[in-house]
Parts: sequence; C-alpha cells; structure tokens
Amino acid sequence: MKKILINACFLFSALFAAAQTPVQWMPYVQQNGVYFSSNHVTSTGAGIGLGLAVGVGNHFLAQSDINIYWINGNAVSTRLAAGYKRNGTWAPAILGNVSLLWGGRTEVLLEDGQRPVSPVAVLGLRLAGLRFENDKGFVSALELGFGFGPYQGTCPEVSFLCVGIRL
Amino acid sequence: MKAFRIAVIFSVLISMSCNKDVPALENKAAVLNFAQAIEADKVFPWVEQLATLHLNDTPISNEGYPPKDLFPSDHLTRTAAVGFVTHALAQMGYEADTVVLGSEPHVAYNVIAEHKGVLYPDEVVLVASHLDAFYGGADDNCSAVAAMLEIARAAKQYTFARTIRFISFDLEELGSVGSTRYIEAGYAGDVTSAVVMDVIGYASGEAGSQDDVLGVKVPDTGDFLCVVGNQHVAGLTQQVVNLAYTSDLGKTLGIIAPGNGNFFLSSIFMRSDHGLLWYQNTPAIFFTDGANTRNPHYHEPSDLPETLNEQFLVRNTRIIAATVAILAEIQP
Repeated sequence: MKKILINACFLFSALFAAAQTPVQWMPYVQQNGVYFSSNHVTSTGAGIGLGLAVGVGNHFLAQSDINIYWINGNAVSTRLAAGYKRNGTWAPAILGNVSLLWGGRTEVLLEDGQRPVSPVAVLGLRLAGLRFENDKGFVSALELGFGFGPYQGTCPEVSFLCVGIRL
Repeated sequence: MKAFRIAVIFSVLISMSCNKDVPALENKAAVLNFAQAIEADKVFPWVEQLATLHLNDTPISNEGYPPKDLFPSDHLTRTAAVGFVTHALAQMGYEADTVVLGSEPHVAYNVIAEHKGVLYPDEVVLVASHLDAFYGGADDNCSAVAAMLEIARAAKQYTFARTIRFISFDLEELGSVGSTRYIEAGYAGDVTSAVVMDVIGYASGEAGSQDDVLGVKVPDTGDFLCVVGNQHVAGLTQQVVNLAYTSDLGKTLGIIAPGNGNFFLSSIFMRSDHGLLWYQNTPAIFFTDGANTRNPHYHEPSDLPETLNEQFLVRNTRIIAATVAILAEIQP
C-alpha cells in the first residue's frame, strides 16, 4: 500500500508539472550529504549530484537528481521532488521529495537472515531558505531536509550548495 | 512529458525493491550434527584455565606501544597461552606447530594445527582466534580460544572436504601483528576462506546494555552474537544467521559491511585478525559479542571468567562450529 501511495504521488506530481505552462528547465549540480539510519540499513555519505529542475509558472518547482556518496561504500540516491517556491530574486522553496537509496550501506540482517530491502525509499521534506533566482539560473545554499524510511528509518540530509542554469 | 517519463522510471525502480532471500544450505543436517558435537561442559574450563595462565604470566615488552585508555599495553601476556594452546591441540592428536615471525621485542608466536580435508586438501579454511590478552582476558580472548579448541576437539571425529587450519594468532592487541605477518609472509596463500572469532562470551539481558556501533543501530540488549561479513561473504552470513534462527542454536545479529568492509563507517567491523583478509578480498566471517560496545570489563583487570555467560559461550561455539562445517564442507 505504501508503495502504491508513493507511486501515485510521483505520477500525480509529474502529470501536474507536465500540464502547466510556461516551463523553465534548469539543470543543476549540488554538493550534498545524507545519513539514513534505521534498524536494518545505515546508508550515509557526502558527495555530489546532478539534476534537472523544472519551474512551472511562478511558484511550482519540481526537481529530479541523482547523487553519489562516499564514506560508507559507494552509495547512490535518486530523488524526485516537487513543491512551492516564492517568486522573485529571493526564491525560497519547500519541497516534498521521495528518494531511493542504492548501493553501499551497512546492513543488519532480518531475524531470519534475509537482507533488508534495496533500494530504500525515503519520503521527506526539504527547505531551501537561501535560494536565489534570476533570469540566468539559481543558486541555493544549505538546503536542509528530513525524511522517513523503512525499518523506523530517519534521514536527515543537506545540500551544501546547489547551482543551476536556466536553459 | 519528460517529468512523466522520469516518474514512470521511478515507479518501476520502487517496484523492484525487494529482500534478498537466504541462499539454500545443502548439507544442513550434517552441519547441525557437527554443531551439536560441541560439548557444553568442555568449553568454559578452557576459559578458566587460560585466564588463570594470563593472570600469572609476565607481561611482554610494550616498547613502542605506550599504554592509553582501553589499551593497557603494559599488561599484555601471551607466553603461557602459546604453550597451553600448543599442548591442548597436541593432546587432541594434532601436530601442533608454532610459526615464529618478526624480531624482538615483538616476536609473534602463532600456533597452528591442521585437520586435513579429504576432497580438497589444498583448500584451507582458517579458523582463528588470538591468544594474547590484557590482564586475565576471559572474554578477550580466552572465550574465542576456548571455542576454537572445542571445535578442534569435535572436528577430530569428523571428515571435511577442505582442510581446516586452526590458528591462534599472537599480538592481535598490538594491531593484528601476528595475523598480518602471517599473511604477508605468504602462509595464507592456500586459504580459501576464514572464520575469525574475537570476544564471544559476554552477554547481558538488560535493556541499554548494548551500544550502537559507530553510527550503526543495533538492538540495545546485548544478548546476541554478532555475525559480521562483507559483500564477499554476504550469502554465508545470511546462511549462518538463518541456521541459528531456524535451528534454535542461539541469538545472532547478522551484519554486512559494504564492499570489502574498508570504508570509514564500517572500518570498526575490521577490528580483528580478519582485517587484512578482507583487504585482500579473501572470504572471511567474523564473530564477536561487540567488545567495548557491550562489555564493561573490556581491556580491564575485571575481564574475568565469572563475568561471562557460560551458556551464551557454548551456544556461540556451536554457531561457529556450524559455520566451519559449512565452509569446510562436512562429509556425511
């Protein structure tokens, strides 16, 4: 049921984004860190990512990115986010996001020896308070996020710096 | 439509997330039979005798290793233990030998004995525990040496496809010196897999008795044996945990470190004689009670036999024996 709901959110957000105009496409790079900690999976690291942001109208913002992390193996996250942003030069945003965490991690096996699920899906919220836009692109510093995942998992995350250009 | 396509890909990926099933264990009955050959009343006396020897032994030189917190290098003993393990193995009928490596003041005396395999004698399963100890060292590491000796005793009554090499490494407490020299000198060239045990006899049923392990959450009651593998032995780790669970051998916690285990956050799981084997991508599985994340007597003068849980140690010895039987392919 949880997976169906997550999927429905994805599809709804994507359809909503696709249906609106005008659309601004903004590829971006970011430096970030993540620490997913649960009873069975610990996936953490700091690294870099590449993504594509889509601004729809003045206030709707969607992002998808892929990130690679080091520290506890080579981990990868894929993230899809959608939310609201302020219009103007100072353009703070609040985004709901779903991330999938893949790759290197420390696993605590289930009681019967099964390995925990992979990838781990994290549902979270991200605040971008120091986000600025102009007609060339955007820059955002210290985006803070927090999410929840399986096995009573919590997932604080931070994007230290994110820079995008408007196509 | 681009975003829609991305969403569809995400949906497929979520649907792919799944548990990895436990690999089947083919000779389960024979493995369990060997585990049950471990005799409950034989393990703990080894611990008591070894701890007494350590307490009465003369500490070796700690030149170059100044003592510090949790590292009382001025109370490290091993000489009597070398003789004791050699004699015990010889009494069981093994040709026990001592591999002497390095130079003064820190010569390493690694004690070895082999049980030859009948099908693949050139493939060696290393079964290791370190024999040096701070103070009495009942948990660290008389408990594991005792388990190794009891497994060696039981193994004499069985045949295995592969050769089992029992080895008590020296100077582990100075940084896995004995095992590192052994491997670097080329003695482990025929080792196809390894079982390493270090600190396996302390348990507590109290909530809060077990700390997390460097950011990795574990249950907070310290009543389980940690079965630690890396990606090379993930399937084996699963098999051991599943066997212990389904056959009621004892309570375990399976932990799998990423890659070969040598990343920053997982490096704590390399803290014993299997460390260099992991670096070299040799399959090795590690057993521990969690050491200083659980045992308040760790590296203290109070690490004495009376602080250990005898039943816990016996159960752990059976689980480790089963692991040896799997790797060495016990014969029906």
